[in-house]
Amino acid sequence: MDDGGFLQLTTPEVKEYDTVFPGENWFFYWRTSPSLWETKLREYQDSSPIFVPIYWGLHSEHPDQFDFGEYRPEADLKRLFTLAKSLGRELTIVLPTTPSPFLPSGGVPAYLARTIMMSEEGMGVSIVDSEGRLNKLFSFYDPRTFQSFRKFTYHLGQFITQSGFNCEVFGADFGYLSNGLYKSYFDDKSIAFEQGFNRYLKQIEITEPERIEQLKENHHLEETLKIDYAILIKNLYTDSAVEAIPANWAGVLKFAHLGGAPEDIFARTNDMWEHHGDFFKPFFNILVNDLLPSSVLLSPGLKKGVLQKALKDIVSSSLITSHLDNSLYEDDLVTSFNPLIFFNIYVGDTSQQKNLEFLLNGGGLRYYFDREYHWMYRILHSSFRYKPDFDQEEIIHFFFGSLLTLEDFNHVLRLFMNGGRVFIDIDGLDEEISKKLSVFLTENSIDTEKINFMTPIVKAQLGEGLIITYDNKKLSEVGLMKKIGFWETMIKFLKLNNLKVQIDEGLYYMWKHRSSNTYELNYEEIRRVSIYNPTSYKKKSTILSSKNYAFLKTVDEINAQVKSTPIGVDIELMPGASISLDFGYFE
Amino acid sequence: MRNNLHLNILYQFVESEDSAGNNISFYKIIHFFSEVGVVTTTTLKKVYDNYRPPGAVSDDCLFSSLDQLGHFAIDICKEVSAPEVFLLSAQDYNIGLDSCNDIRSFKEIFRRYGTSIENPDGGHRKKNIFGKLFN
Repeated sequence: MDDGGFLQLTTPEVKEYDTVFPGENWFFYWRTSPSLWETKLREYQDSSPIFVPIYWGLHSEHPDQFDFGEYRPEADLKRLFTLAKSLGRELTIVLPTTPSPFLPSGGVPAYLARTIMMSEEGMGVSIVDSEGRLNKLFSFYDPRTFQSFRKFTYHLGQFITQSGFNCEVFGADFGYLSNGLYKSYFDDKSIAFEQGFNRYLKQIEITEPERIEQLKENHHLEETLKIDYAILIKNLYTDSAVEAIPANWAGVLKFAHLGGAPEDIFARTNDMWEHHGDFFKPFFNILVNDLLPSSVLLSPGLKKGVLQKALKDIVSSSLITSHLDNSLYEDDLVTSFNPLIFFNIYVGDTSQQKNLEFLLNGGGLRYYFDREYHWMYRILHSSFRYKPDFDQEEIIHFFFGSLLTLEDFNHVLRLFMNGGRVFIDIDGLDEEISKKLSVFLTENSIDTEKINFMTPIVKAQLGEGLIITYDNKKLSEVGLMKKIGFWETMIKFLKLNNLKVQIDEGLYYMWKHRSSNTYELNYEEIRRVSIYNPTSYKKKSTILSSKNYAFLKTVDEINAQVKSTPIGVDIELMPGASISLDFGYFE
Repeated sequence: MRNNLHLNILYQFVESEDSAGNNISFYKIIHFFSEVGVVTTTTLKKVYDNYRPPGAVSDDCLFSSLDQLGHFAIDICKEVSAPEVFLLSAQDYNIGLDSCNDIRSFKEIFRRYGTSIENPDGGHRKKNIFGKLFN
């Protein structure tokens, strides 16, 4: 790497926390003097790209005035990029298309900080950042905010083109987890949203009067229309960014902020309440939701020790790269470990849909996965599109009838024909899709088996390909133990293979895997389990032996002791301990 | 052992429709906590059972009037021996939020903008407040 001719006598020390590099490759250029940018970039040791979020309010202090370094050095993005290039550091621009919780006023210029965002409960949204500041977020539904955003992205696009930047520009959908599900900071129930929605209804009254008639008869339709309106406005922001920066645009990334839920404010403003162990569950949930985790809101004190270790272990450069490449499967990145995932659950872009909770938990699916396949499933907030390079053998795909579109379904059939294994909940399945499935199975003479086991089940098999249909609504009517029994039977049939982990309460663990290298040809792949003890107590864990696995080694032991026993590997973890264990998997 | 924890209740006034299409309104607790954590659902449920309308299945704590919510707050204070509870509506919370810019001023919102209800028993009787209140 080019060191810019600067002689270093010692290896630069990577700091545990830095206000300019607050975590996961983020570079907050406004948090230091531009004269220190070079020093800060030199200190950065990771090989993966550095995220540079654009602080809109910094570059536009007055309406219709935009400064990218012409007037103030702290806004000089050209200098920042030139410096990074000379040091061999790769910068990636991140343009927030939602409020940014780590910025004052959510990043919008002061002249647009008018209508504070509202949560569903009618609470103004304010987020505590890593330095203990209260950042109030302002509504993106105010038409003046959108008009200004459009102008800003236009000028940013011009600046990027004129400066000759060839870096990628990603839109950022910032959000958080609430009850284990992703919510975007775009979601807002403020007066600005309500006024915008009323304008939308008036527009619909002209273009689709029949929908307004339906609304008069069915008030629940209003919720659906509100979702449609929210998606429409969100897309307007993204589209204006794409239009302004077409050559560099690389897509939208979803980031979930630890400690960023509006209701977290009460815990985060009380020192006696907040503990670093509280962030493990949301952190792992973020990974399960296939989002990029961000710890930039957490104070240095909270990120010390075992949480910091977990963030470094898991939010590796390969995880970030896989999101930047927009590749659903990380398995291509053979040299590094990636989360071991057995199940994909597709929920579409339904962050605002209230029945998601029922779909995931009504039939006990998520409860079962949380119990038996902790952090080994993924909830995907996107439509399903089959790609020929899918590694379909390992992953089992779950679809809900009420969310499945005909286009999604066509891709599901392609997946099945290519050996994919699929579960479809038929509750709410469109009649046309249902008919298409029946015709498809009949026309292709595919063997089907019908069983009644708590719910009517249809099993269709073609080579490796498998489709199992069931009724989530029917399943929701039986007791929890029966639901677990149902999923246990279904999943057992799929013959998934992984080591069992017995673990004390309060410990967290995550499985990762990678392909074996030339020195490990006895094994198909290497699986690594990382275990963390964020509690103040000594804890124990056991990994049970299995005939297809060989214990290879321990990695990064911190205050942990390992002992092999006839039944497996026993681990003792002191408070704040962490450890990883590698196992070779062979057929 | 601390027995001087102040409780905070944040509530929302909700106007809605019942299944028959009639307009209804109620007060709903949206957050209930003290400086060491949220009040457990076990404690809430135990006290709320005396207020729960017949046939209600939801876990939400809903009240037909502010007076009823106030009585519930006193009962919670008695249950956990807290000396005082601050009741604050989401609307007043937003007024308070508007005027604060840092954590210190945020912490004062409930005290400054809320209604204080004191425990008539004084709140020092039971000793195991942590065990009763928090997980």
